[in-house]
Amino acid sequence: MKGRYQRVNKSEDLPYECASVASGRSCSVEVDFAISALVFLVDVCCIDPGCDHCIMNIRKEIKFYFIFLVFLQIPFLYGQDSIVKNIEYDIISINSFRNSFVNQGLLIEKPDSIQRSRNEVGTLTDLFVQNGLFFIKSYGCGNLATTSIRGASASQTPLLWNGLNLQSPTNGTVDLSLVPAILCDVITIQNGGGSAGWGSGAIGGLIQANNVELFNAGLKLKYIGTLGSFGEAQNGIKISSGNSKCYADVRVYLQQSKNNFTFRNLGIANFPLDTLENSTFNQKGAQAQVGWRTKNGRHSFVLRAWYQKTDREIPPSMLEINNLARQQDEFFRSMGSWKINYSKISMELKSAVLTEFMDFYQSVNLPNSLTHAVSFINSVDCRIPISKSLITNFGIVANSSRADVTQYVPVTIQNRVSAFTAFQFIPNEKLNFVLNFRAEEVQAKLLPLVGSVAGEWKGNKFLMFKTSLSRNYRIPTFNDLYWRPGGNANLKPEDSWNADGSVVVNIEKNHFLINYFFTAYFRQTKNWIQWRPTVGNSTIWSPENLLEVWSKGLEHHLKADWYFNKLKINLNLAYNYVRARNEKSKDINDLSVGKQLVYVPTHYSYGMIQFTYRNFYLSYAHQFNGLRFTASDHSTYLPAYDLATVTIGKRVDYKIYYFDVFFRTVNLFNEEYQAMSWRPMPGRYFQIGLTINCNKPNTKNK
Amino acid sequence: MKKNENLLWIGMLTTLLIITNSSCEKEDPLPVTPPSTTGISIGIGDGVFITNEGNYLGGNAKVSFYNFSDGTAVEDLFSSTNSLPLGDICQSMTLINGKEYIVVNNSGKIEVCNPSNLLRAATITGFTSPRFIVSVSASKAYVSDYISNSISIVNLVNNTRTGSFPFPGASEAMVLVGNDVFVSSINRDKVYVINSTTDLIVDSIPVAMGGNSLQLDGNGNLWVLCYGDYVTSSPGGLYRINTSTHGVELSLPFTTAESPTKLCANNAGDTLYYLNYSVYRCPITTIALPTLPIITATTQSFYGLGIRPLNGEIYVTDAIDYAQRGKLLRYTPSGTLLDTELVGIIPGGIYFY
Repeated sequence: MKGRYQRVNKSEDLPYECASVASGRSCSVEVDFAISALVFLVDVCCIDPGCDHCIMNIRKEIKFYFIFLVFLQIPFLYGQDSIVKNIEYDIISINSFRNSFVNQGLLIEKPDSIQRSRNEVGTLTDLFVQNGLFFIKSYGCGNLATTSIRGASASQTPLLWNGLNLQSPTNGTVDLSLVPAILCDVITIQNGGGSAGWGSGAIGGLIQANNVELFNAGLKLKYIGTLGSFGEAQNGIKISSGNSKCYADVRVYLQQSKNNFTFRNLGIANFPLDTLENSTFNQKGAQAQVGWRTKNGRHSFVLRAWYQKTDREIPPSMLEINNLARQQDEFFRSMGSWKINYSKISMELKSAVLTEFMDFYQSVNLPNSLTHAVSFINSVDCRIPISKSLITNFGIVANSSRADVTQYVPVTIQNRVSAFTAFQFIPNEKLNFVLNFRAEEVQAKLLPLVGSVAGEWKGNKFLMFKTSLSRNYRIPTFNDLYWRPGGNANLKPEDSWNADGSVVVNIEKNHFLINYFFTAYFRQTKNWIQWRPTVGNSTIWSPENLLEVWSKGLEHHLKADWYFNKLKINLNLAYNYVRARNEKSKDINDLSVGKQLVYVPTHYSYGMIQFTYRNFYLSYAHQFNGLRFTASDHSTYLPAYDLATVTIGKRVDYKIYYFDVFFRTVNLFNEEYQAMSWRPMPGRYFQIGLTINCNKPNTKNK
Repeated sequence: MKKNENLLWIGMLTTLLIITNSSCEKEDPLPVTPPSTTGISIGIGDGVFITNEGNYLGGNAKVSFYNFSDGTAVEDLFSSTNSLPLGDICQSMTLINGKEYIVVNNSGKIEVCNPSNLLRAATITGFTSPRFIVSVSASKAYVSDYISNSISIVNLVNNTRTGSFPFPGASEAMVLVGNDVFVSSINRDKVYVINSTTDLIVDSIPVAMGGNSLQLDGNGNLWVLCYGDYVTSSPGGLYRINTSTHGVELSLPFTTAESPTKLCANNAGDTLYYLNYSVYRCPITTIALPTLPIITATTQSFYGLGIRPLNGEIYVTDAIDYAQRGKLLRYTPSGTLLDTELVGIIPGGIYFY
């Protein structure tokens, strides 16, 4: 990829556009690592024919904006796939500068463009499960699905939407089935603690789902639809329009599925074939965003609003009789952000209101359980370059949450304020250090200070070493604190130390690209909250700071691309080894001490190979989920299982349109498995998808 | 030189990888599958069945069996005999007409089994959330229910559920006295009396909330143990009821912090035992609650209690962390520990055969 472009020494006021935009065409861009004297070189190159300028010296002004891209392993996200001519968005102005400070030293993963384009509709559950990014604890199609990064619990990995934590204040989890993939322009997964940077909850890892700014994106229309077995229909429409001053973007989606698949019921004699009942899934929603900026680009604003309603029937397990349970989740999330950008100081002021409502119906004799929560979040985030090699970032976040669960949690208000600061020190082109601190006060009570120290060292042209040490925490949820009966208002936050070390290898030649990274980590979490029957009253359960969990593991990830004339081969291999054990108990008879936690597989691996020839593509993905114990003393377990997925498709370009059709077989070998005990999972099933895309670039002169 | 430098880096990296990967630990050992128990033959007085609730929605309910003669326990007798899981939440089991009726709460069924090996003879389905079963005649039984505000009627001849009648709350423990069935409720502050011929409620006796266990004593009186109500902060109590007059003859309240469960008696019916964090006992002639336990819990989570009819040995179960196999603890009648055995998850009921 180097040497294909003509370097242009052209200085721009606005670092956000490809040079060709100035001539009035929106440009497809490729981002390329250029390793030379200045470490943080990123080439943003336009690849449309006749549009072959590189904004090379833009990097001087923008290098700090790009720091996070460096550590995001750009090559295997953008450096491939020359067939994808139009990247959907202006990738440069993606995110807050917080990322450059908090992602240091940790490995950041992103589903690449191939993975994203195969799962543009559906939910994050579909995206993560089919692209094998990490082990997901899923109760089945459309049902509750939560992350389990490095053996952490569901509430120890926040999901941030444009910097806002979507974890519910009541139970602290994010249900991945309630986050539609169509809204997430850029998804980043951070393995390892991030509380110093992002606050409570980031013990196991952190997922970010962000929207990008669409200045100068032109007019884009996109329809994505899939039809699948068991009555699955997913539809999404994206319409956006952007010029140099402002942009607007609307997305509407509707996804549903009957999930009435057949399975062998292993709970009944002779294992008869049974059909899953009470299992429909219905989700609809819309997101709108409007952004604008001043002529000189010093001030930019964005407003976003997102509404969604999901109705789910909850199917019984193979041994359960109740087939009436259902749940409705509804929320409205809105935010506004003002970014101020001067060379001496940059700031982002953000304000958000997140509301959610959940109605859970179990049976005709029990009252519905209704959950309401509202959070008001206001933050100020400031970045000041102090000198050529030292940058500081600091800010404050204020969060006021009000929640209740009818009959169980009375209306309660919780106020939190946290202040954070970070320093990034770049002594030379090979080294980079970041120090992060955060202090949080919850209900006027100061929590222990957390922080992280991280460093990166560029060994040579193709080798980089990263390391990070951090202290992270998670505050108890409303349910933990205020549930009646049993809530424990004296709970302490979970407290964790995390150490990571990684090696990144990046080799790039004319016809192939290899990225390999290897991480070893170690984590200790104390005061891990668990619900147990209270001492002296076994009928009432109460949470306590009970466990002390030691985890350690290894992660390997290899991505490789080869180009031969018109044939392209992409390879993606990953392997995670996780040991997570409880080391403490107060009961002398407890046999769980020193044993792997339940539902945490020791081995997990994923492999995908994709062939692209002209505009046809064929991919095969294979996922191995290791054995998981289901009792804390390892007296029962669920066996390991494999899932294979094959996709074939074709892309057709026609003027400003392109069409993409694919056909997919999921669970190719019809494997019978259980992800959670006694929860039926579908055998082989099929999907067919169509994407219609229309891009009309911005034709106005800047 | 550049080439040598690159080789050096590659060498260091490879070494690092080899070192780190070779420090992977041994795999966790898998549990051993127990042998089939279809051929086992349990006689009367051979041992004790323990019903294990398992985790809600975990589908890991079990019935264990502890053998008196060799002190060993079969952890999951039902599954190893029938090669099928028992279901979700095993609440209780009752011997009726020579068969064990095992109530599986969240699977909405009752498994009718041969007590010599728990081989399944029939399954009664159609319940909402069954808890306990009591036979009211040779051909009829009542099944209490946690959710449906009704009591089900079962035909014991063909082992089917034939219907139900309304009950004002969650029905729990049941005892047949003559033609009447006394039923406790965990969310009502009464014990209800039902005429087992007409299936109608004929009386209600005021007690505390949380009536979880009933026990007839050697004098024919009925004792009721209630754990109170957390929401209204009302205390539980131990009551003695005259089964002829339906009058409360003795009323011994607990404090609001206490939550007593699992009332039972010895074979002679002259001594009562119950769990209140620790194990307590008192004679049926008592006029006050016992102050000191007979077995003191230290770090354990006592969950089930039973007294061996033959010799008065005290059997207690420890649920530990409610997510692993519990322990059956066997004590002398005076409270000295004899031995322990592993049973299923959340062992709640102890039933001597």
